[in-house]
Amino acid sequence: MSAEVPRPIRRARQITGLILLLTSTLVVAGSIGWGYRSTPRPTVVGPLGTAAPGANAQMPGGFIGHWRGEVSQTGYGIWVADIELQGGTTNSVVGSGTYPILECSGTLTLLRVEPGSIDVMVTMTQRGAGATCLTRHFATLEPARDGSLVYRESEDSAIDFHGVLVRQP
Amino acid sequence: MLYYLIVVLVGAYLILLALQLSFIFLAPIAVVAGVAVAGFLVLVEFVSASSAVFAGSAPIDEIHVRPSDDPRSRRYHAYRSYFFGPVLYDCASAVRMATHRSWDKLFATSAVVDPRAAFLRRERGSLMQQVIGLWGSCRSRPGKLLASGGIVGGAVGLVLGAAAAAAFTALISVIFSAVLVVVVAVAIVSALVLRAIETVSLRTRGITLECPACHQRQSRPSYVCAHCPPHQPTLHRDLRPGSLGVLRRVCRCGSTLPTLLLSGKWKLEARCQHEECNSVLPVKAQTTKTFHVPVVAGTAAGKTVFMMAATATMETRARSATNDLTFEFADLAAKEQYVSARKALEKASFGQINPTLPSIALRAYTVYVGAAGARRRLLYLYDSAGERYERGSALAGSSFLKLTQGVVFIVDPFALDSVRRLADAQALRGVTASDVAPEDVFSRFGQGLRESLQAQPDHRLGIPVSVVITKADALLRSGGVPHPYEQWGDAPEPESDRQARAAAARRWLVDVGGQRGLVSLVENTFSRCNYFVVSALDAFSVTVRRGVRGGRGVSNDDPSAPVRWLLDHSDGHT
Repeated sequence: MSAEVPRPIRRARQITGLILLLTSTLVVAGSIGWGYRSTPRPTVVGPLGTAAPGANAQMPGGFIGHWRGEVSQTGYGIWVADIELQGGTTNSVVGSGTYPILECSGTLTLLRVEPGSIDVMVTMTQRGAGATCLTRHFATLEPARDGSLVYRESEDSAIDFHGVLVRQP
Repeated sequence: MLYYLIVVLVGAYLILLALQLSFIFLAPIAVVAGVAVAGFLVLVEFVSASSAVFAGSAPIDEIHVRPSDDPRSRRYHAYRSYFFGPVLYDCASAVRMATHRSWDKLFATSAVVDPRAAFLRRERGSLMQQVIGLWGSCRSRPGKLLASGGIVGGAVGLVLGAAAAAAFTALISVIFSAVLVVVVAVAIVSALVLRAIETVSLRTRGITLECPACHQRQSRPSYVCAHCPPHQPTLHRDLRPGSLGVLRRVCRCGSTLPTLLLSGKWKLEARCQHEECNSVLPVKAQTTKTFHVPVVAGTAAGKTVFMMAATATMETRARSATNDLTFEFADLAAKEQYVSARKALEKASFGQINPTLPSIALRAYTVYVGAAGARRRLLYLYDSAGERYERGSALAGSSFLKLTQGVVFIVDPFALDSVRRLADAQALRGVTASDVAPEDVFSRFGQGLRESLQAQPDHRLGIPVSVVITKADALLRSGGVPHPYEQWGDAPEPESDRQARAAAARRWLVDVGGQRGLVSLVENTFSRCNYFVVSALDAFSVTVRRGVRGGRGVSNDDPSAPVRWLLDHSDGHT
């Protein structure tokens, strides 16, 4: 018998090859899509404080509490931050802050939650007579290995500062 | 002592430094390179193996599609359907091939012959062998120390890359296999459904097929492949959707055949499914209902001439552009018989039309007639030799009788004693008269039919019968015998008044032919009877003829009228 493959069977195999190509394409596309969807995406809030669609992240419990410490600001000096954090979701007020040296106090609004840190917007609501603080500033809070909380400027901030806050009883 | 201690410490420091350099800098680079190379190679082998199998021209011996060499096998005449299972063999084959090739190129411990190096037959090891072989190729110890990180990293990279790529290709293979399993399942279900649809469709439309030669009903006719060489014809005995093909099947000659009537199976040459017969079946079989009509008469009564005249009339009527009647020969033998008889009909030399001989096996004369569409019928006319009706025992083996849906009973007027007494001697010399009494013939036929249909003796048969008085032209030439329609003359009785004509013909049979017994017998055997008077001279058009008795002209019945009446008055049962 001839070893030649009849044309209909060749065509059937080619159709099967196309099915394989299609399956492979779908698997590759599916993998890329799955990888894209499973990548953690930061909860972004717009510059005016408008939450991005679907942004509704909770503040991690480890941040909740009373924190106090010195903060060094480039070009200015050292001031003290005394903040009280409660629970809440992005785009809501999650705590209050007092800055004795600056003679200001205000509220902290949660802007975004990322693995290992949160970004807050500090809005001064009370200013003393000799107050030198800005109306608001943006800060990133991230826990350090020793249990303290690093308080530094966030990417949105116009000033550079860095400090370590210690949990208060 | 101190000197040696310093040398040992410096040596140890240098070794550690070399190892640190090798494992911190070279190893990660080697891991990345190994992952990339192994992953790429596995993917390339997967694509390459899949292309080799599914490009179409890979050998098919392993997928069991070839026709069997055993003539008793169902798979003797055709290839197995690719989507009825063999596709899964191909899938497994592609995966196996990719795995073997990848393993050989990456991890095989024996030397691999590169088949592409046809002239050199260059032997080379697997990538893992080549990576490990780097250790041996470093002659100096410092070189070995420096290379150790790269070698270990490369080996780890190869394993990791191969594992990752294998996992990815395994995922694709599993999904692809699942898709193919669904495809195979769909093919199997489709075949069963399509097979059932065709069977049910034929049953609900009342379409059957019977062999014109052995007269057996065909549940599944065989089909001849139109592309096989004539000296090696391939007969497909069960050409239906199934494991040899859902919509089409591949003949062992490599050409495709449709498996459904809807997709053109009816265009193929069909053969009787009974191996001992194997006769050619009517063309375009199973496209319309069949209708079986024995044409019954004694020897020389004019059955064959009547049949040819009726065929000529039906053909002429269908060829005229004023109606939607169709006419088509369903059998080459029928066409050849008609072509030969047509010349005799045109010359009115009916003696040249060959009579049916009792020594020849009866093959039905098959034509497609009737209005186009659902009313079209495949007409089987059984022109059995008159001798068969002269002995009752000869009818016992006439299996076509059980298919009977209508009967044409021919009465030769010159076979009747009373007519022969009245007819001129000259007229009698001019005709070939049957010497068998019609009543005897009908009596035997009726008995044989009842037995074949297993009908009760005291019940009339529900199938119609046309009683046809033939040789009407000879009646006009015989001065002593009146023509049945003589009373009306030329213009007279339109052909459409069938009832009046039937009554006249019946009256003639009783009063002139002295056949009261025959008429009673016919009417007691069949519940629906009609009477006709025909002449083969009217084969192409019915014309008014004048007899020697003078008076006005007479027009006979259209020779096809008895058959058309049967077609119109049958309930289609068998």
